[in-house]
Amino acid sequence: MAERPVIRMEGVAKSFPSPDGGSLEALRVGRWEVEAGAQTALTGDSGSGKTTLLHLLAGVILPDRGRVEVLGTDLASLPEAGRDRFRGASVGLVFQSLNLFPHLDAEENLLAAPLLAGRKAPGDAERARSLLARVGLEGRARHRPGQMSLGEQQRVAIARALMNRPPLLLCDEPTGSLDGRRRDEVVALLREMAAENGATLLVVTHDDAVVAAFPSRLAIRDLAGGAAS
Amino acid sequence: MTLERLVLRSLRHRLLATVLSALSIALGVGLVVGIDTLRREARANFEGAAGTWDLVVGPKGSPMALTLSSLFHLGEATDTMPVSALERLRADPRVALAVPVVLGDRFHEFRVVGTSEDLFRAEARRGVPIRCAEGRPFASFDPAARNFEAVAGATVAAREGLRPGSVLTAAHGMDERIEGEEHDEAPWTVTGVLAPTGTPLDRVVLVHAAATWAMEGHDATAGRGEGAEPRISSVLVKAANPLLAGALFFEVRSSETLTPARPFLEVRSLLDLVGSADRLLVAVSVLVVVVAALGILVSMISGMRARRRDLAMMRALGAPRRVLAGLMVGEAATTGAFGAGLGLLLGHGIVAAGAAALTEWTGVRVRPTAFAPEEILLFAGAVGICALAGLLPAAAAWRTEVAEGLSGE
Repeated sequence: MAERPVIRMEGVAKSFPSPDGGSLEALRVGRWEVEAGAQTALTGDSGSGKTTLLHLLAGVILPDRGRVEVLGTDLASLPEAGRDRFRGASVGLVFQSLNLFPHLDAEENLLAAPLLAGRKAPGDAERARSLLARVGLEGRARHRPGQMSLGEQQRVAIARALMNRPPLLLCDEPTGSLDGRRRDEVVALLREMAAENGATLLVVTHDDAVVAAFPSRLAIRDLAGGAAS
Repeated sequence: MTLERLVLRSLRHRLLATVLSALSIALGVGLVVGIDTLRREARANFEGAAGTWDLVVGPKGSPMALTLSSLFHLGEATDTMPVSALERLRADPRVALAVPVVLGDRFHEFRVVGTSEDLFRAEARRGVPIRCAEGRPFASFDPAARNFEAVAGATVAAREGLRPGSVLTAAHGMDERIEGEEHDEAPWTVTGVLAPTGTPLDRVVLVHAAATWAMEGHDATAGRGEGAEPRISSVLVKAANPLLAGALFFEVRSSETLTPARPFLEVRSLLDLVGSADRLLVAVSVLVVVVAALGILVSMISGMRARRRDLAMMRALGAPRRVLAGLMVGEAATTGAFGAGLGLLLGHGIVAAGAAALTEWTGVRVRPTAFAPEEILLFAGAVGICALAGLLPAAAAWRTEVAEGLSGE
């Protein structure tokens, strides 16, 4: 029996109000599925709907039309608090920059993930230290974001996204603020960490070098007609 | 990691704003605590000192002035009364103890109070006996021996360096600002130093009443002619029981020449009068706390824009809206708790500073460490007001949308 897709979108459309009082379509997806364990790079120009897609998958916003299923759950069927819980438990998020809480050190940033998701567990501190060690920052646990380079901050963000062992890792331009060498390091780390933790990885980017590092690549404009990863 | 720790970390991140807000709260709470503790302690001490005597009997006049001059050594004793009034009271079976008070002299700024050795059978205030820490009480005055003996109050002895065997010269008159004639002819020999009582007795020199009548310039009969009896300022009376004190009061009140005062009630009515000013000060201090809480609100609201992304990030990590709102209220309440805690310390510091001045002026000793159960309510109230001030930022946090805060496109 085929494994259930981690992401399934069908007939999805999302518009936002435009300044002239009308509405502007930000995203249209015909039919799209992503299988468990896939590592997919989704590319598109600025304004093509990449972030809208991630927000739909994270349950931050709901589609105007169509169905968004993540891990078999129709996100529209959940109330807002349910979507918050679902996101905290099942989705790890990494953004381009300003990912971390500036008032917390690296370890506390990681520990904030289970705390805020209501999933605190006795082994959290150990897992946080182990993840920090895995991303090469074992000596920086007590450093706050302002005391770390952008590359180090992004590594902390990746570790935090995996704290709650989410089956789905969503990244929005995760290397946007990094130079070439650090970009390649972060992409490699993302892929390794996702694989080690059994998470399905979806990265949206407009950087061709990042796209080239992924076995599965897709242009966001192709989703309108239907695609599969 | 806990939500409480998250609150503390956030407050530390905005240290200057947090400290300034907490200091404003501390100022308000400190003033309330300071004023209230001084008022409460002063009241307890004044009432305690007044409560050891059932009656003060003096010449016709104001019962309040009689109480203040006889027990607290404040103001002037305007008139005198014959010593026979004391004898009558002593002979009355309803009276357990009656001691004279003779005022009129001073030693530097301290009053010299003529009394009798019976005073040493009384208490300065409840549970605090009048006793010598050094030496002995004065002996009865013997006109032939001219034994002018004195017992110095604890403050007088400390300030003037008096010990048993020291000699002091009193001056006529009770106001040190008016230069009085010194009684060089009759220096007093200190026989004892009183143990500290925390009452006005610490600030007086006690002598035998009969010795004051033997001093030059003291016309004991006050020009009332030969055979006239010596005069005293007042009599402190302790009745055999409270019911008898009431009967005595009404009996003396019907006299044409004497005034009775119930010192406890006189002091209470005086403190009630002063209390209305206290209440105004407390109201102003509470207003300071409220304004400080509004300061917290303004500080948090103005910082919301900078925190928008952090709050959105929290929601992205799965935090429900109520957690964000709770963090805001928690930050405001914690700032209030820091401020209120500091305020309690500040308040008792104010008391420690004010206590010295109060003791200097009245001899009443105030304990800066006297915590009142109401301070817990004050602490809770200040924290509550600050938590209320956090509700508006909490509402703003509640409205945080993940998409707005994290939009990268």
